[in-house]
Amino acid sequence: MRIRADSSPALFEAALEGMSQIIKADACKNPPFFTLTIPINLRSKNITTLLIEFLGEVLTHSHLHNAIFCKLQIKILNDHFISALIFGFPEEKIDEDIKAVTYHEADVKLNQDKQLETIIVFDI
Amino acid sequence: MDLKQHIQKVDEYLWEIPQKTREGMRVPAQIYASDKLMQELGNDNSLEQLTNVAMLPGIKKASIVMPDVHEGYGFPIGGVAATEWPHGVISPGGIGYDINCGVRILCSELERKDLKNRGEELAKALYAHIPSGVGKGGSLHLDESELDKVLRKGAQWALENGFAEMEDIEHIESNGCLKDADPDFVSEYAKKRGADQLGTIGSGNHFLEVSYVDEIFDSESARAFGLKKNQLIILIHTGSRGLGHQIASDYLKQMVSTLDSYHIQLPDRELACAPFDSKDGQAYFKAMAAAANFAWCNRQVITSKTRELWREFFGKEKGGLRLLYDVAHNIAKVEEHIVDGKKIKLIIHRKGSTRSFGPHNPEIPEALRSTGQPVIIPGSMGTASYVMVGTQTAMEKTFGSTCHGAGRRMSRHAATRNVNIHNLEKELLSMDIHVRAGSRKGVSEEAPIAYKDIEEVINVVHNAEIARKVARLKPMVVIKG
Repeated sequence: MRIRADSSPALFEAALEGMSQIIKADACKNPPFFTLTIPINLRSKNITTLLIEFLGEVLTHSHLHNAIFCKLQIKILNDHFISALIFGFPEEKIDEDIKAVTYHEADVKLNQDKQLETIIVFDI
Repeated sequence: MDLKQHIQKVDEYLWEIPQKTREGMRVPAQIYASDKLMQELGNDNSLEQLTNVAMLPGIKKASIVMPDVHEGYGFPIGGVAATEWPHGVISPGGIGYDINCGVRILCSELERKDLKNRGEELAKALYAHIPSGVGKGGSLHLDESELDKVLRKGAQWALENGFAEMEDIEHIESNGCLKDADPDFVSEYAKKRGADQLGTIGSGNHFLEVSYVDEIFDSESARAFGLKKNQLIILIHTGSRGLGHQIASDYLKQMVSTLDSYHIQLPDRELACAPFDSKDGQAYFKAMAAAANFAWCNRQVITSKTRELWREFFGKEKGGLRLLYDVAHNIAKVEEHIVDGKKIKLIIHRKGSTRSFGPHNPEIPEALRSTGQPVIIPGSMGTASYVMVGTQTAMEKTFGSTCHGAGRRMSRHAATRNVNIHNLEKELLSMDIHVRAGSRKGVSEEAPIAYKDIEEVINVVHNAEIARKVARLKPMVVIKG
């Protein structure tokens, strides 16, 4: 998955949306009522590892709750820390079983359009 | 840097990238491959990854890959790396996310003719009986206390709970249990993910396959293993499921954060590691061992269900299934090997490679010890699999290791784009191979075109003498997720 966005919060939202789209296509387009709200608080070395570990945490909750998470509400986000809420709903039938979010080839950088961009590789 | 330019041919099946090729390499990189397989090398990042591994603190002798090598995360898949115990590093990337993904072989009392015209019926029955598929849980739902026992005891738990026969345990690598396992080092998240997954195959390239012995190459070893031409055989390929993946993710994250504290600099985050004898190294090793035990127990429970179904299908009289052997191909073990003429203790990382111990090794079951350790190499769906035997040469050259399969040469998405599923299904049926899968996409992802030529891979390890061909198996029924 390649994602790009104008800001860090938008990048994290794009990552969440992209991963959910892989897990179940269009599940977040017209989602039902969000019955699950999970807090995420993570500290990491830099923005790239923070992004990967954030997605990893979301993925874990997807597995634990058999759910898809579509919405992200960020309270604090900097290069080393995120405090946020994710919102989702139970979904038993999925398209792709993502086993892990890897650090492989991940590197958040400014592209030539001055957007933040990175590749994220999932182990499926 | 084009690493291909620096490869030197050592002999017909061994190639080397010298230590001085890249700054930071502590040992050379070695590749077991034929001329033909070398042409495909370099189409992905596996060469760079191989030389990255050669930079790990404490690595001894060489960073090695087998002929089924392909790009992984951090470490290439199809690799072996040995670091010196106790201060050398242990790296989760050198084991892989699916800890103790492995394969076992069950020998039946039946022949190919006993399945004549019943392949489709057996496929349907196995698919209904053995849980497989994306996110599929099994019938065993363990509470935390019971799961902790599985994590500590591995296959022994299966024996104590009626899922194994006494003789099974000795025929599993490490008797199906790594004693260092400690469930206290496994996260709550990992345990929750694993709680309902015992006895399930999962998805991806995991499968249960009914094959027959197509050809015997080494009649003496075949006799010792109890293999006969046309005999019906079952292969079970799966690992530690969500539990193992979560452990790998948890500890990779931990080690990425603590890398600086050990003054370790690496070219790839997925190589994150810690000294084996450090708090982080030991924590990971204990958790990894727990996941390995879960995987062995998982394969044992699936075996039990398979035996149930087999007896029901073929009748109790000839419905026995004997476990020949179970091997891990994603694992780290503490083993002793000779390096520079001295026997030393090492942390052997096998990621997509199989242990291949030669004759007289005390780790091999007594009945098979004079022959050598059985090695099981599954091919891609629709092609052959092999039973091989470990060799003394493997002990000398590759830390007692060999390949683990055909090796992917095409990503899952590329395979789906390039494979005509109708043609593939027709082709498999024309070979009297009956497939039951959770999705057609899953079948096309595992098409033979996505993998290297298994015959080529097997011939390399056989001719390099790091495993010896005993028998070739051809599939009849394939169950996958």
